[in-house]
Amino acid sequence: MNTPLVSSAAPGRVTRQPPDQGSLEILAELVTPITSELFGNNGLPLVFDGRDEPEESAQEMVGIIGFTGTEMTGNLMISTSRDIVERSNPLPTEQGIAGEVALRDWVGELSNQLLGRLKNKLLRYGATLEMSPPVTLYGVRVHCVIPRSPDAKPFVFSSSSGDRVLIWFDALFEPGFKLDADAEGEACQEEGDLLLF
Amino acid sequence: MGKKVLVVDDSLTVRQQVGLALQNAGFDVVEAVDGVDGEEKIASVADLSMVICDVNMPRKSGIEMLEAVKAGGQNAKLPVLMLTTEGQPELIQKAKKAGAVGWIVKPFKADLLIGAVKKLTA
Repeated sequence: MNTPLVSSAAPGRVTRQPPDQGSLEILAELVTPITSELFGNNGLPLVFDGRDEPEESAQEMVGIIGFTGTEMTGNLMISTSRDIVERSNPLPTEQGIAGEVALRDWVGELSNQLLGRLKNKLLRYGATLEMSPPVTLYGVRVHCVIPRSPDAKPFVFSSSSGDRVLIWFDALFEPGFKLDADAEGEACQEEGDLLLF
Repeated sequence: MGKKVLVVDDSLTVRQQVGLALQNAGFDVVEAVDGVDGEEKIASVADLSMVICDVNMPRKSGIEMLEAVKAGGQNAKLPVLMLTTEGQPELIQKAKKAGAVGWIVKPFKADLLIGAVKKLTA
């Protein structure tokens, strides 16, 4: 049973809570292929290794993007190596500061595109999200810690070189809300679609 | 000198990627980093043929920028094509109603984008 989070600012008032098991399963079914597709489209095939915190998970680059909505709030993080970011970059990396700036921008854009794809899929399940601009972290050993949701284990992918891509999707749901596999939500335009009005 | 296209996106990578595709097709490119910068560039850069614009941006969104540009003035007829991760029908309709000429869901296919730009700037 999910334990609702009680706000210390308003004792007795139940605030948002971690997703139920059914919703977690739906999220897992969505995140895995979307991630593989996104990196595959950028020339970097990934293999899904499962959901767990690897023993050694310190990475170099992290893209974080937040979201809010009537049904849920949270954030999505992509955590990976500089090499993965460079190899998936659709543009050649320049030398020096310009190149580093470009890579940081690209990992932010990756998180933006990943959440964008997920957002479009979630419409069908009755959830609407508004996305914030992405933020990038860049360091030597960047550890990501998810404090809120006990089930927010990262989705772990690996490349042919053995580098890892970790995806965290951390969400809190409005009490009573569940992703509904039978919802007749809106169908969205697909990635790459062009509409001329 | 080719026709001039303004690319508005808060992502450096997307601006460069779109810009490269346009330049390879013979277009000149001007960049803006968000809706505020985009609106300023539209007002100040002469001879723009069209705008390619993201939706979710800091300071001013693409749709807010679109609405401001279409509200009146000499640039109200400038074609604006939205390029975004968003695919929600309601948002697409909002952009259409605000005067956008089209909508592309990222990632874009270069040949489709260039085909649309050539058609819209003909």
